[in-house]
Amino acid sequence: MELLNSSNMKVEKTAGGFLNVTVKGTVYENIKLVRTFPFTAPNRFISVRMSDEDSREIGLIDDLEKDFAGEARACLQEELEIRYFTPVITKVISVKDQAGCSYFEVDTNAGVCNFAIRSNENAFMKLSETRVIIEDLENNRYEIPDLNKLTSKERKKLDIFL
Amino acid sequence: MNQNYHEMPGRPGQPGPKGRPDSQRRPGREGRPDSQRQPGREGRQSGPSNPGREQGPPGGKNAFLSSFQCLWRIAKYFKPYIPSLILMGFTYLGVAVCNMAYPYLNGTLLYDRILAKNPEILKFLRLPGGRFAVALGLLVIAMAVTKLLIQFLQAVQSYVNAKIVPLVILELENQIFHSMGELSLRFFYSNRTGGLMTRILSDATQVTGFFIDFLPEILTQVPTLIATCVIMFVLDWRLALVSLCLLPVMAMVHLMMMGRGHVLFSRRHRAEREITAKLNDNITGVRVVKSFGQEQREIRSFGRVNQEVQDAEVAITVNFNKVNGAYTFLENMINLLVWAFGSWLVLGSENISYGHLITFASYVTQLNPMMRLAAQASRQWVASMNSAARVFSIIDAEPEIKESSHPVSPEHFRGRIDINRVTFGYEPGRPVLKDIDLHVEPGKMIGIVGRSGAGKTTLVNLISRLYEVEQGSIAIDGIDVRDFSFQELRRNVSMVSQETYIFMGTVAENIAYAKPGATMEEIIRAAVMASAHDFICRMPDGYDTVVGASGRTLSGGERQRISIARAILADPRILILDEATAAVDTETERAIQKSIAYLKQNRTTLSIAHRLSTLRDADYLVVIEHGRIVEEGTHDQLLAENGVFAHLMELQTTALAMRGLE
Repeated sequence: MELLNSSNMKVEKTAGGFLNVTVKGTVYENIKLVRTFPFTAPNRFISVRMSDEDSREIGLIDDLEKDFAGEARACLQEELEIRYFTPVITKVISVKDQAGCSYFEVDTNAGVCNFAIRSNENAFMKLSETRVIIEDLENNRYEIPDLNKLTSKERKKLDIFL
Repeated sequence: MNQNYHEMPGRPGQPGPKGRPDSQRRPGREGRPDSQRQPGREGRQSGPSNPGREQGPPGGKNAFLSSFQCLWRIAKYFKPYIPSLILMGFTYLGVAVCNMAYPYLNGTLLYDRILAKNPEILKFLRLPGGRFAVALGLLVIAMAVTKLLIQFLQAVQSYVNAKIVPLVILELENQIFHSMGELSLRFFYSNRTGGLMTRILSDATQVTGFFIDFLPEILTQVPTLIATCVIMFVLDWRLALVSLCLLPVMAMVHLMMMGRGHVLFSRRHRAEREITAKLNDNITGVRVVKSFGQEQREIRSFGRVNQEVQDAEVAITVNFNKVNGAYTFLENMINLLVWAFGSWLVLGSENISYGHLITFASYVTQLNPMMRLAAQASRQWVASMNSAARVFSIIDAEPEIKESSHPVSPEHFRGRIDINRVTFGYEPGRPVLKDIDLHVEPGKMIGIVGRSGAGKTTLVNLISRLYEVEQGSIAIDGIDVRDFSFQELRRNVSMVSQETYIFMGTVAENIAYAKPGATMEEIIRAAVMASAHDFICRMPDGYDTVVGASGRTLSGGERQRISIARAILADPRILILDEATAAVDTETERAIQKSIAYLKQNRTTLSIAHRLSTLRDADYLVVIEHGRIVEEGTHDQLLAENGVFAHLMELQTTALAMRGLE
């Protein structure tokens, strides 16, 4: 298990927006970042992987915030945010049930979104008593970081799924 | 590295290895004082154990628990809620008083005082002469207030009841689950899954059914019944005697039907147990059902079992409808007798007025719902007490394997194993292992070889005390395994078997199952060593992926690698590999063998394998046949002996050569 940090891994962003890293003199192009604990510790133990078919692991970043700084951290953070893009729901505008599907209209930090889930499937993943991830029919994910921050009217709309 | 992994939620009942101090023992658990629960060594060499000991009602003292004993034990679960119960008691009393007052208001006061224009009532109400309309208004208000008060008090009862009963059910369910956790493997193998699930899911709720639906009502009605009878005798003892003359007949009918009810509810439980087992079989074995195209046969078979449940339910309903019918008939007879005899008295002007008769008849009418309640309550009573007997049979079951009262916790485990002349069988008189004598030095790897059913798995199960040795003893580092605490023993002896089990929870929680406090780094390191890290990273939620019953499905190889990671993280001094690679493909086996090669370093390893080539690295091999060690020595020595091992080796080499594998 190879632990990576700013002293043994150089990070570089290509003109096309890909990430290349250099570890022990070897350059790995177009690497992939994988959060090993995406919900419980999104910035800990980031797996840096090659872009080959087997997606072999180059190493693990123990703590992104501690082990990298400045531009390298920003590049890695940006790559992770693209890969794990999850709009955060700030307001539940409406939930309509029709023909076995539930249609949501929500306001998120990325604007208003409309999505659908199958009503009888477990589209709601409770990460804690108050934190919820919703996965829609197209496998897009939406996060409600704190159910208590929704109004009681909004929570009532979600009661049936929780 | 300070983030710890905690125990998986929703999986209570990890039985405390150190036992439960008396102060923490839960209510309702009887007959198991600590002195009896932790027998000393002298009780051990007493010959074959009793395999049926943990099986509950048939053999235990519980079989003799009467309905009233059950009622008393269930009542103990309500002890923590005494203040709420006292409040409920007052509300019952209030309802009884209001119920008594109401017939007097709408009978005697209305007819004989106000409508009869009796001036005494105006004097009593301090109203001027002739104001009977005002008196009537006041009476109506009093009647309305009485009814409202009854409603309010009943609402309070329902609220308190709804607050207490779910907590009692929860406690009962937890206690059943906890008690099950203390029982040995033998109990689980000898009880059908369906029956056990019914006990937790259905019986615990059924037990409290009588308390939720009927007891509050009965408590309200009993004081009302007594007061009604007293008032009836005060009003007119002759009419009262007529009203109550048929009660002994009712009691007889009731007792007869209750006896039959017990039998019928047991029959329904058996049918329900069958249906749960059938469902369990079909859901877990769906692949086999479908691959052999047996859906229609299973549907027919399910229909038969379902029919049994229906028949049992119909028989119960018929029985209790008979009770209801008898009650309704007697109720009508009583009403008829009271009206006939009362009217005769009014006609004869024997100091009885019409209003007096109306009041009396109202009290008689008040008896009717009480009788109907008795009929309905008897059904729930039988059902609840029937379930209670089954629930307590689990709670009272004596664990076959008990922890020593003074467990030993050595500072350092070296991992030497001494199996001294061990004989063991699952059934009395049919030993599976006979006079086994085996000694393993710390850090060595021992391969155990033998045909299926030879007793290899039984032997390793005895080392980690999943079963109890009957004759002889097993010692680790010179200490009898029965002297270790369960926690100490299981922390130092880990098993990776062919049957891997993934619990409902995240991948990380599953790996950290034997070490709930493991850090993320420890979990990842274990997964890397078990060749599991790469496939875990390919899952969208990585180590946070929910797996198990309601989560993502894992392949056999993935499950096996997670179970190896679990064993690596547990870091035991003694590792048991029971056909750890039998269920995986060659490539996965190679990866797993690599992990195992790491895992067995610096620890004592017992490895059972049918594929004999995997045991080439073993320091020593033993061959078991028909429960006895028939050969032992190194790989080369056994081959030179040209005995059972050499024969098995030859068979395998020939078979593999024919398939072009070796």
